[in-house]
Amino acid sequence: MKPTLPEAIPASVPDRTRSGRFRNLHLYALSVMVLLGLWAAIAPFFPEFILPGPMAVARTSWEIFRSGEFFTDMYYTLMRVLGGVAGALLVGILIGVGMGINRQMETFWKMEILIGLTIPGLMWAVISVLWFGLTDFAAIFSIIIVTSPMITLNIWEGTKALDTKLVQMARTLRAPRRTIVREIVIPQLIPYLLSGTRLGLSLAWKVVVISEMVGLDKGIGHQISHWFGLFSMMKVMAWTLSFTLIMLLLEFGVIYPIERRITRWRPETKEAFAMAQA
Amino acid sequence: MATIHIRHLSHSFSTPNGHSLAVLKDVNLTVREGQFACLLGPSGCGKSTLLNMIVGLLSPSGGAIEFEGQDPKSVNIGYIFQEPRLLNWRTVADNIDFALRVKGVPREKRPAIVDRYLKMVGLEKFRGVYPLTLSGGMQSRVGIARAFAIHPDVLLMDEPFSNLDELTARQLRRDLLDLWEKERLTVLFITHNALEAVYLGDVVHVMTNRPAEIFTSREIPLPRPRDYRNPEIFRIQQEIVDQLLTRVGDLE
Repeated sequence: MKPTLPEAIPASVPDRTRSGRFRNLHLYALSVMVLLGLWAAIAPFFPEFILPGPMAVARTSWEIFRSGEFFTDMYYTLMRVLGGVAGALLVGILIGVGMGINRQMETFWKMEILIGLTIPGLMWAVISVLWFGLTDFAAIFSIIIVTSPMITLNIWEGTKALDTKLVQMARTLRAPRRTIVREIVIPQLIPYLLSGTRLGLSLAWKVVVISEMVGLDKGIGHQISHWFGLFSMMKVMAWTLSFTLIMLLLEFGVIYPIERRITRWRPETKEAFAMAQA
Repeated sequence: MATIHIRHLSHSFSTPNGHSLAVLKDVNLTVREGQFACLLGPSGCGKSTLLNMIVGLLSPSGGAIEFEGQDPKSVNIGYIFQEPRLLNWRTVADNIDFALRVKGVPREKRPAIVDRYLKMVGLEKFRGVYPLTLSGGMQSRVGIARAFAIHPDVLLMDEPFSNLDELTARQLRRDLLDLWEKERLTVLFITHNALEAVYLGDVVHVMTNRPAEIFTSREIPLPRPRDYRNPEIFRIQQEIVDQLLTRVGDLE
């Protein structure tokens, strides 16, 4: 049999050569240029200890990179963040899935999430240092507490949105429970897990720097606090800039490609819109 | 392949206030091996409940479902739903492969089967495409290919074309019959569309509203391939609708 009718024409066959991470690159570049341009334009009106210019800060950053000291501190910060977010993911999956399948758990944890989202991250950074001393665990603990409400929220959403009709389809094939979890449930949760992780990471960077500023003896936050004590605006900005660069690199070099790969089956929003119109 | 016997089947749900609501009442039905049987009835009359019991997702309150000469647990059932129910994160080919994998078809045999059925539904060019980029009719074809690919003893279809426009539905009915004639599966096709039932079926069983029971069965002796323009189809269809209207009217 041949598809001779109009329905045999695909609504859209995605064109993968044009899409991808480099689309709209010029807009990203423009955005960064505007920011740097503003900075460069304003800086000359201030003394260096108030606002050093971008070139000077970049030079200092380069020195920090070259001497290798950046990577030691970055390593500590990164490990704390990864440990904390991993912990929060565990908590988020357990509670989020529970909330999605059980009414009582849903009501119970909804309140906790609300409270968790309201308390400022700074508070937890201070409290966990008081509880656990100047340890890595203090930083990790505060990250878990601060990021898990956001991650839980996402997983909860994902569990509620599970398409049970697909589970039923698999059951008519007599698929074992193991297969249903692995092939039907987990793939549907992954996009939510991913956006939870991304939000969690963005919160974690902020919290970890605060924890480190409060008193840990290594990490980006420690360096910023150290140079703050010596009134070196140049170094404070250089460390911040380096840190930001690494963050952007992680976002565009690791997280974004993973996300694209995992969600490549979704039609682009524009195409989906066109399909809805058709 | 298998002949299905449904004997004195009944089903009731218990409502929150303690009453029980009868959905099916004393349903008797035989679908012979290789027969294309249609089950026609108004929406919400318990047709899907019946299918869910045949496939074993739901236990009947009374009566029995038997597959001649086969253990009900080992009967291979293909199910085509009202929606395509595809795994949208897997390609068209992988969706069919998934069903074969669940059925334990060895890895080295799967690609050839997938290709064969994709070709049969005219989608061989779209094997690597993700379902959400396909039109509704094409998604339905993938669902049909998936159901046929597992070589079911029995094929159950639950209003599979009711969400499609009439042109697409007609094309898919034609394609479905082509496939069925090649493989001669035992089919139970549920629909609320009398014309569709008469066009497709060797026999049409007509159901009433809740509690649902089969009040008449009618052989359709027309030769295949059939044509919608055949006045006989239209006449039989009209008779069935009249019967159904009289019967449902009686209930009110």
